[in-house]
Parts: sequence; C-alpha cells; structure tokens
Amino acid sequence: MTDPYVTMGLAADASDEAIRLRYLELVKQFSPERHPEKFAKIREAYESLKDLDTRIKYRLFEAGQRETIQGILEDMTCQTKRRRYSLAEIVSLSKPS
Amino acid sequence: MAAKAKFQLDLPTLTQRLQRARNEGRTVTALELAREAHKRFPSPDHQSVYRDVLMERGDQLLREGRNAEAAQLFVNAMPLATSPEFKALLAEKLAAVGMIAQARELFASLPAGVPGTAVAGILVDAALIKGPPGKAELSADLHAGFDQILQAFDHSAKERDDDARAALQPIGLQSPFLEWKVFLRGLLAYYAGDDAKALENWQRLEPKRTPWRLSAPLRSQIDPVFREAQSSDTQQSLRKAFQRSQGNTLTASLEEIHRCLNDKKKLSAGFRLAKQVAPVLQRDYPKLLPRLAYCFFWAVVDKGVPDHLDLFADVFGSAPDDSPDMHRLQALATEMRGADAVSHAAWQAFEHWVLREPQNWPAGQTNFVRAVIWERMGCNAKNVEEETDAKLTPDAETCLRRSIELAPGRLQPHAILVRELYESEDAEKRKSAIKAGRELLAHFPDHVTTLVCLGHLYLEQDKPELAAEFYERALKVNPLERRLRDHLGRAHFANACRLATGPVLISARKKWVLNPAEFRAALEKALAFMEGNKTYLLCRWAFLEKQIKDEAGYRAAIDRALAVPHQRVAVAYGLWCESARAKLKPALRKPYEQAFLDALQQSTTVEEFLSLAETAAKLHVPRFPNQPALEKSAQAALRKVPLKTLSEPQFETFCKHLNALGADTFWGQVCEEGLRLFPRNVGLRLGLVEKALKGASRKRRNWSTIYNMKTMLEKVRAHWAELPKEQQEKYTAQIEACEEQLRDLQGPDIFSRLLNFGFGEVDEEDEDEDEEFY
Repeated sequence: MTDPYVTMGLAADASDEAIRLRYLELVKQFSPERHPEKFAKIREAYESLKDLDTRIKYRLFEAGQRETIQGILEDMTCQTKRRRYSLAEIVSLSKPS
Repeated sequence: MAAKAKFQLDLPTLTQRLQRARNEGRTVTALELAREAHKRFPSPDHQSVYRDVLMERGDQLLREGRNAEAAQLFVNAMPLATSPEFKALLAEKLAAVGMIAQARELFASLPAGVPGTAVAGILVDAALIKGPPGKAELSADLHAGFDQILQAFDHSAKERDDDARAALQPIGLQSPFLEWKVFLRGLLAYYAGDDAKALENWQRLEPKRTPWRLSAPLRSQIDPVFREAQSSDTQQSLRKAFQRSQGNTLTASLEEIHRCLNDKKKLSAGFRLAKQVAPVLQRDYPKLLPRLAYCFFWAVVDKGVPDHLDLFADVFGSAPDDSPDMHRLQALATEMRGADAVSHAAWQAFEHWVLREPQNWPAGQTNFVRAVIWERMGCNAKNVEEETDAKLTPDAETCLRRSIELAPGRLQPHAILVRELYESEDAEKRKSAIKAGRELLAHFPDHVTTLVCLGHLYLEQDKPELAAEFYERALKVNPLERRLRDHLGRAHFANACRLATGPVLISARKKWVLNPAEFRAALEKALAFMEGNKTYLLCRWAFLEKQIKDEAGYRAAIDRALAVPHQRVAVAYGLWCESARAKLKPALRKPYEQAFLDALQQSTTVEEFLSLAETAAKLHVPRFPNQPALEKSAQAALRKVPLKTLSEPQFETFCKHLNALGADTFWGQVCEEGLRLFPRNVGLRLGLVEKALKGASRKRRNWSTIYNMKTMLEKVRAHWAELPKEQQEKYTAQIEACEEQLRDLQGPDIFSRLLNFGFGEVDEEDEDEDEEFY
C-alpha cells in the first residue's frame, strides 16, 4: 500500500497536529531499530504529509505514482473472503495449473 | 555380437564417461553407463554407483513432473535394495510417487533401529492425497489416524471448527499424521483470520512432507517473508493457484494489464482491457478502481500519447484530482517530455480550473493550491531560461511573484525568486533581489542562504556595513560555518577601505578623521574573521595608514605582517601592489618594486614562495592599476620554486594558489610535475581536469579533449576511492562539481551519448517518446 494516508492510518482531512501526533505514536510503536522497514515507510509517508505544502505537492504531483498492479492484486487477495476447502480442493490447489 | 564386443568400452573409459555424464546432468546416458558397468564388472562399488545414478534419474523425472516414469524407475530399482539405508530411501521415493504397496513392502523389511518415521509419514501423505480410497493402502494400525484427518477436513470445510479440533485431538506427537494435524490447525486459524497462529503452525511443517506443500499457496498470501523467499515464477504460480481456488476472474485480466502498462506499444490494449475490468472492479472492489486509474495515469505520464487522454476519460471518467479536460495529466506528461510551452499552458489551464471550482479542495486552501502550481510553473520557466535562453510566458519571475502573492508564507517560491534574481546578469534584476530577499526575511528571518545573498549584494553595491550586518545575522544562525566568518571579515575589510578611500570619500574621511578608532576597529574585525594568510590585508592596512599620513600606523601594520613566519617576500609584493593600487607616481612606486626584487635576491625558502603565491592569489581580485605587469613578475618569481623539493601537500597548496592567480599554464605544468612525483594524488589530477574544463567551451567543444577529461576524471574517482573516508571528504564537492561541468559541456546531443560518459544510461526510448507526444 503506497498511499501515505493509509500507511499512517489517517483521514484525508487530518490536520498538521493530528499527523504529527500519529507519526510520534507510530514511531514509538515501530522503532527504527526493531522495525526498520516499517519505520522507513512511516517516515516516507510522514514526509509527504507533514505540512500543508508537502500535502498539496503530494496530491498534485505525486499521488498514485507508486501504485502498481501487483499491489492491487495483493490487496484484492486480502479483501477476498477466505473460502473453506475440502481435502480434494486443497490437494488440487498445490498442483501445477 | 562380435561387433558389439569390439565396441565395448574398457573400465577406465566407462568410468570416465560415466563421471562426465553425471557431472553434466545427462542422467539418461549416466544410467546406461552405470548399468553397463554394474553388469560387466559386478562389484559392490559399481552397484552403489548404479543405485545413486538411478536415484538421480528418478529425481530428475520427478522434477520434470514425469511421475509415472519415475515410479517405474523406482520399482525397477527394488531388487538393488539390499542395504537398509537404500531400502529406507527407496521406500520414501516410492511413497512419494504413490506406489504405496511397494513402499510398504520395503518399509516392512527394514530391520529395527533404522529410522523409518520419514517413510511412514510419506506413506501416510501418499494415502491421504488419494482421499478415502487411500485408506486401503495403509496398514490397519494407521486407519484410525487416517479417518481422524479426513473427519477434521470434513468438519473444517463445513465450518464446524470445534468438531475438527476434537477430531485431531487423539493424534499424538509420535504419529505419522502429526504433520497433518499441525497443517489443519493452521488451516483452522487461517479460516478464522488469525494469520499469526496460522503461520505459527505452518512454519513448523517439514518441507519434505506433503502438508508443507499444501500450505504454500495459502501461506504465500499471508507471509511476505515466505513469499519473497520464493523465485518469481514460484510466487506467480502460488498466487495463480490461490486466485484459481477463489474463482476470481479478475486476476488474469489485471496481470495482462500489468504487462500492457510495462510496454508503451501495448498501452492502448491495456486501456481496452481496463474497460472490461473496471465495471467488475467497481462492483466487487470499489476501493481498488481509483488505484487502477492511478496506474494508468502515471503510465500515460511516462509513455503515453495524446490519444490516451481520450482513452483514459473513456475508461475512468476524469483523471483523479484533475480538471475535466485533464490538464494536470497533460501538464505532467508534457513536462516529462520537455514540451515546456505546452506544459506551461496546461498548468495555467489547470490553475484556472482550481480557481473556478474551489469546492474540489479543502476550505480555504484554493489559493495555496494555486500558489503551488505557480511555483511549479516558475521552476519550469526558470529551467527553460537557464538551459535554452528561451522564455516561457509568463516568465519565471512573474510565476514566482504570483505564487508569493497567493500564499506569502511559503518559503520555496521566495527562495527560488531570490536565487533567480541574484543569479541574473541583469543589474536591475540583481538590485531587485535585495527587495525580494528582504520580503523573504520578513517571513523567515533566519534563512541563511538569503542572508548571505543579501550580504553579497550589499557588498557589490559598496554598502559593506549593511553586508556585514547580514553576514553577522547568518553567522548567528550558523556559527560553525567558516565561509561565513570569511565573508564577514571581507565585509569589515571593505568597510574599513570605504571609510578611508571609498566612493563616499569626503563624508567617510570626515567621519574617520573624527573617529580613527572606527577605521581600525573595522580592520581588526576583518583580521579576526578572515580565513588564511592575512598578509595582503595588512599591506592594504599599512597603505591606508600611509594615505592618511600616519607613518607609525604604516610601520606597525608592516611589522605585524612580518611577524608571521615566511612572509618576507609576500609583504614586499603586497606593498608593491598597494603602491600601484594607491596610484603612486612611478618614481614613488619604484622603491617598492626594488624592495620586492631585493627580497627575491636573498635566498628564498619554499615556504616563502608559497606565501608569495597565496598573497598574489588573494590580490588577484579586485583589479588594480598595472596589475598584469606585477603579476607577471610574481609568476616569474614563482617559476624559481624548486619543484622537486616540494612535499605532496605543498604541491597541492601551490597548485591551488596558481589556479586562483589565473596562472593557468604554469598551474598545469606544476600539476603534471607533481603527478610525476606523486602519481596517486587526487588533488593534482583533479587540478588538471579543472584546468582542462576552464579552457573548454560548449560552443566549440572538442570531443577528444572531452574524452580525455572523462578518462582523467575516472582516474580521479578511482584514486579517490582508495583514500580514507576523512580525506575523501576534502575532494568530494570538487569532483562532483567537475562531473557536473563535464556533463554540461557534453550536452544532450548524440555525439556525447556515443561517448557514453557513464553518468547514467542513455534511454533511447526517451528519444522516441519526444517525437510521439506533441
């Protein structure tokens, strides 16, 4: 997921202060030492949203630039309800198509 | 038969060929040769080799999915199963290909003590894969476990999870069904959405066993580490298997779209596919449709043609956050292709739309959005002006001023405008940079770059007091910056000179006459702040004192300069230059010239020569009367430096001063001499590149010189890479500046591309795109 609002779990109309507080909260939760990748994503998202200037620039010149079909496919999979399988179905699942 | 016998290989040749075939993975040939060796020269070793080759061939067949042939091969190998280890191995293989009866036969013949649990597990796996009919192929003692697993599957498929767990309860830790129990527990957690628990179970599975393989398509959906550890082909097939099980038809279409988006020739086909997919996506996954639109949006920006705008509108309606005519998309796409005028017009049209339809933006932000767009236009126009000397309408200054007007509190447009005006060659524009800078400082009083710019501009306008004020403010914000201290020192020095001799001559002198301490205080401040050798400054001080007829002051300044070691020749040269600057009559200047020549007559040390070079370099700017003649004398003196006695740092220092002095030919000679003695020195080699760049011109470029410079710069980089990190920092900025200059010199034309300068790959597609879009 590349949308910085989604990465930070924020509404699109979040204020500067709300964004900053959420960032601090997330940094506490995902410290750079223990979660370097997650932290890098949070940091990057925060850099895009930290003030009105960066938010507008992001919306005008960058929004959606990192969307990929692969990402859409992954999220589609996540959003798909998990169906249950019989033994035969599970076995057929692992056979080459 | 005779002919066959004639061509029979002897044992060494047979062994050699067999080994080569095995090494090269030719398992069919290897098997034939191993069989022949086993038949003709029976021995335990040959039998062992034959068994190994059989297994290798069987494994290859399994990898190729030829299970039936592999099964036949393993059955044929059964007579060779004389050792317990090979029996266990073969039983595993037979079970894996579904030959449960034969596997059981071998398994039963294993003596006690041989580890057979793996075989039992694999037998169980093979039976369970066959479903209920598989039960008959297992021994009676395994029937209960078999039934429990089938029951658990049945319950879980019917959402009776508790019953499934209860069915698994009797399966113990030693049971060959344990793997299946663990797999099912993971599966139940997966159905319940407890991915952590599902993974906890699936991570415990044995990779050789079937449950591990069965878990893979589901596990890859919830375990990114597991997914990324697989090859891309495996990842794709796992995802496909999963999507197939979900009955999702969108996947294939989206994957095809993915391929189309990566190929600019297939972008239109991608739009056609998207038109079919969009309604389904909107119905089933409404949140994903805007994301698909963005994928196409940026694909059009990157590789689209104008027709794609209509296709985009046809599939997705308008582009996200764009005007109905998609001016933003047009502007970004044309910007990407360097169609600056079209892009400029598109941004303007978009800005008008933002003004007309403010409801698309949060309340009160419309002007801010417009300001950001004007800033973008300003930057684009500035780049065009810098690169092509052409002007867009409106020009950069107008765009940036408009941006500031709309949102005065934004730093960027202010800073870009100040820089634009400051760098202009137009005197009027440089003057207006002061006003723009002051406006910026009203909002951002600590903006160091602007404070320094204003300092420079006031110094240019001969207002050193004001310049010093701005440098001081900058130094307060950034007290560790040495260059700021030097700027401040120069401002104080200029102020001191102005107080005595500047354009405001009468009032300044009067002021000075009334308060001589002010003049000297300014010089003291200059001495305190300016970096490096200060002989030239003290010589100027001495002459200022002389001009106001204070002989004691004159002598004191000279003594102060001479108090620093190795300044004898430099002081003599400095005073001679000052006598010229003060426009003394030739007769009055003569003693100073003589003093310089006398100083040179005495034995001059290397350090004295280096001080002379530094002083001459510092006196090079600003200009003074008769300067070329004096500098010629200084250069002639410097040519007497015994180069072979210079140390490596002295060579670098000497070259630096010669560069500043503008003695380019001599500078090049010294660099070359230095490199002969210190061939790995980065500074000297860089000096040669800088010298070559100084003489090069883009309008009359010489490709062979450029190629030589490129080669030299590559050597510089190579030697630089060998330096310790702390020494590397000394040259980094200088090297980058040279690379930038060389890139600029090389220009965008095809000849420079042919030279492949190594500053990035040539993207031939960009060339095509330029022609395709507008």
